[in-house]
Amino acid sequence: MSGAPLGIDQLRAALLAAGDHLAAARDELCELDAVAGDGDLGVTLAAGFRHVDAALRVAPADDAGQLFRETGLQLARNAPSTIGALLASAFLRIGGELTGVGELDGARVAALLQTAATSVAERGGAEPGQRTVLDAMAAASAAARTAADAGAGPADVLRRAADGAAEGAAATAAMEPVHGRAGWIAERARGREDAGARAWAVFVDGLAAGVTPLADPQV
Amino acid sequence: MTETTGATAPMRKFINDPEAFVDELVEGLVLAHPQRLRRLADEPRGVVRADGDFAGRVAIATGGGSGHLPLFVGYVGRGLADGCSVGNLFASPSSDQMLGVTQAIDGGEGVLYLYGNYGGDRLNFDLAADLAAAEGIRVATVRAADDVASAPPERASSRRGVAGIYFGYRIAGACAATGADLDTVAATAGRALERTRSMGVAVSSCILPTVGRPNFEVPAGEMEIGMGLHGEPGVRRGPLLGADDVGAELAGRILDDFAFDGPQEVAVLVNGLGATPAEELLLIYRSVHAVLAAAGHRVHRVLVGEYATSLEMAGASVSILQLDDELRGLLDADADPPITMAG
Repeated sequence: MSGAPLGIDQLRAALLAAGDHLAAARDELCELDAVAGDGDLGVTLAAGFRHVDAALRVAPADDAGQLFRETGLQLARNAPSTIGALLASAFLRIGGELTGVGELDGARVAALLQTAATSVAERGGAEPGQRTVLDAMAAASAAARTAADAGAGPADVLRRAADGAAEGAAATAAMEPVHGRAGWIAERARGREDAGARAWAVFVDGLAAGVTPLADPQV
Repeated sequence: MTETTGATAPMRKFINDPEAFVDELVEGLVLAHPQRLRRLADEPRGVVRADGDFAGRVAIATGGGSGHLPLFVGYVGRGLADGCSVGNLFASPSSDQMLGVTQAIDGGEGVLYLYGNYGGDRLNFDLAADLAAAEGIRVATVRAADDVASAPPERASSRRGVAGIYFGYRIAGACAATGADLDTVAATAGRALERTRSMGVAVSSCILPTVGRPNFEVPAGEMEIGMGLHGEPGVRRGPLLGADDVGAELAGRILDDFAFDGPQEVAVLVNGLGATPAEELLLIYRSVHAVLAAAGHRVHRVLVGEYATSLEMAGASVSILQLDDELRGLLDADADPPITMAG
């Protein structure tokens, strides 16, 4: 029951769609960020992904690694913020791991979502349960792993990962913030999703939406 | 007549547009020291050594938030750091700035990132290292985590970096000047900072020009032992004590943390946080000296002055470096003074 692997052009389309989804969620993300931060997370990511979009469209991508490296470089340059630096590091690391890889099967997709979570955990020093982007990343990775282990193809792995990320982000609403400024104002943040976690849920949902039309309907 | 409250009282500061404060101070710095410092053409908050003497040896990059002069940019100089990324007040510079500085100072032997252990700085320097690696520049990292007040010994790697980073600049700069390779410079600077402990005390707060009121309050007549450079909570607050007691407490807490098994040879740095005069720092050193002498430690070198400040915060910190033969030799090497003491 495995779906067709993702080629470079499908991956490019998925990343572009993910950027579009983040741009569409800009105001919602800013509003969530304003509860505990300075309220610019949506603007920062939307601006960063505008540059990602422009770069991906012209990037002569021979391999999947190049697309992720380009995504990371553009975010590093154009999304200066904690979330921007964390995501840039994660994408650069995924890019390194996918160097020379031309197709992504379900296991590869699960692995890259795991790499994202590992990178953010190491760089950000957070653990799951601390109301950060990592809560969505870990949940997305776990859901993707389960799907891939059951033999799902990449489109289905992404869809399951998106559902997992959404659940992980939703769970942050009940968590006590530990990191960053959010740690100072626990009461205000309670009941609202963490903006970074929500952003990852939006991003992975966009990836899944970007490949769905080309996915194997049998999966 | 209504009484003016502290929150709305005008700042007693010489500033222009608060948002321009950092750019203007960097401009003033390079105008004042054109032989020593220059700004990068495409990165005005990237400052490197004006003599451009980076070829054939490991270069040292630093950076961090503004508001701590001479830390960080004031340690760009001979025998110290080669380049610095200047952040906003108390805020990390961006990875892009750091990459620009890295490219400007890399002489082909790699670049050591030497900075204080704060979350934002770590994130951006790590990302800058990724970006540099993608361009074929080798980077190693050493973080100052010398503030014993900021975490217990079992979590020493999570401690904040404070004035003790000065010893890191001296050791790294001297080691790089010997032509040692990147791994050696990083290991040597790392060893020096692992053998450095600091403890501070604050008696008043500071005002960020962009904020316009004190960041926090220390009530008159009180002091906070262990307060961080940005007003992070310390280990105890109590009545303001005399210089003898303050020096003894700071030195005592550092020595407790070291837990030496016998007399050592040390270097000592007594640092003013911005508004405490040199006279008072000398009184504190006098007390620290007595504590060290009583324990049988030999003081090889003493530095008293402003090395890591927090704008106009009143307070002081003590840093102690446990020397060995190699570190003593490197610390004795000639180096430029901190830029605020340079003529």
